[in-house]
Amino acid sequence: MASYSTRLIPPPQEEEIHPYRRVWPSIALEMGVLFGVTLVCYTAFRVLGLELPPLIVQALNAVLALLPLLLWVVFSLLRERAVLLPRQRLLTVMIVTGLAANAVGLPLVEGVFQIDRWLPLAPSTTRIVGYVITVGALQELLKYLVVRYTVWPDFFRTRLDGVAYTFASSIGYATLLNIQFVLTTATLPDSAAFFVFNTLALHVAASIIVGYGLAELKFAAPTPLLLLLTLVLASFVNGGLAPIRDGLVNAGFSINGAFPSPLIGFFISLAILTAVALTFAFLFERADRAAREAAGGASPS
Amino acid sequence: MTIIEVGRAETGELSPRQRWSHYFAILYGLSMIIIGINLRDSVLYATIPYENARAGIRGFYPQNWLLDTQGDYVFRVRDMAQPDFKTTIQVQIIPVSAASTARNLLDSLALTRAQIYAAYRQFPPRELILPDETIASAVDYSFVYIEPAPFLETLPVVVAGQDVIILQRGQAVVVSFQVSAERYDQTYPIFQTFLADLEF
Repeated sequence: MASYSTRLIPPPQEEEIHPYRRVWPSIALEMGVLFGVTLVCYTAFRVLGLELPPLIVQALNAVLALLPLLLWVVFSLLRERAVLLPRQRLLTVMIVTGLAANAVGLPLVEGVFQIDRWLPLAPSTTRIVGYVITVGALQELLKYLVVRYTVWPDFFRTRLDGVAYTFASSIGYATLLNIQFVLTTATLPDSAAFFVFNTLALHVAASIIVGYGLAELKFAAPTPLLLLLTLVLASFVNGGLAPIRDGLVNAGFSINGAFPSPLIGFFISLAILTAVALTFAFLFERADRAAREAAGGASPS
Repeated sequence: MTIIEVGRAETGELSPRQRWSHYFAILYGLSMIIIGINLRDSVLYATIPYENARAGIRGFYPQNWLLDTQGDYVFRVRDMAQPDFKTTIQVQIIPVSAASTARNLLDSLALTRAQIYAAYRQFPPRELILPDETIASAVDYSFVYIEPAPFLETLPVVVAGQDVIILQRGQAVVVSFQVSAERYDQTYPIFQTFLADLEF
């Protein structure tokens, strides 16, 4: 009678439990919904020519300005409570960044840098450099300082915490800019939707970069210049790419008239965000794998 | 079910590498703010030198302002980028007799301007000490500017102005500054800088 070793029977597969909220699907979902809403607004108001009473337009603009915040609460903050080890102080980071933007960021940009007086009319090189040095650097510095002094390093447990917290800070900053835009600009919802998406996309892209720097600084031993380099790159993404994108959106003279093309800017913002997110997702994954291999190699087997 | 987190033990202290990283980051932010302010000043307050050897005047006027030397003045510069009244700085030289005072000249200017400008109002003159210790007379005034081209269909603009009069060597140098009253406070530092740099 034949006998079979019990070692040939495969062990039952245990479902892997991930104790933290996954960051990349949340960001993709939030930006995807915002992308869809923007396209709907464009189709309704620009293509189909939908006309609404001014009061409803204002209300719609206000909803659009707050939409990133609402999506973040639904897809990030509330889902954080459903996991075993939720991240702490996400709401704090978002609120403090919004307050810092309102108390320091906007007054410095409008009152001290006075960019409206000189940057929009400056030559293109000066404009790009100017936006990087003023708006880009200031906004990224403020977001970095908030994350640094509220959650870093005590609340960082995985590398992707860097993205989660800097994403919360970018939501805070972008929401404030959106509210300011809606309160000071009388525009149709499609333009407001484009502004909201474009602003958030660049802020999120820049925040992912800084999040990588903070995460590496916490979990690895990079060069002391890494964080500085991520801030410089983030300043360029947030400040320098905006005038380049806007330059491509602006209407050119033609025999049929001059029509701006906001869809181009919209897709450029999406492309920038996608490229940055994919690149840094790869870098995060590579760093995690290297850390796992180092830990496995170091441990006695 | 219990989950055990495996990670480095927290010591609460930052390593020198981490500390220097944050120092560099903050230094970068502060440097960018200072460079940004510098860049703003270099663009906003850039000037172009002007020299008229015959009139004996040398000064600096704001870049991108339009220079005009064709009228009954030594020179006039205007900010053509303004949508309504073009901000103007004008330098004029008027021959005066030895017995003339600044007050005579101010009265003469007031009489002339009251006929040209609508709703011309002049405030009491006062003494002004220029940066080179020269004592000058200054008078503030206002009037209403009406766009001469009817097709532009613009509303009248309230203009605020200031004349600075310096008497020397039988002539009066009249430096006039005129700007839309809404932008007076914002633009007045440009005029102050112009006066500080003016040599005659």
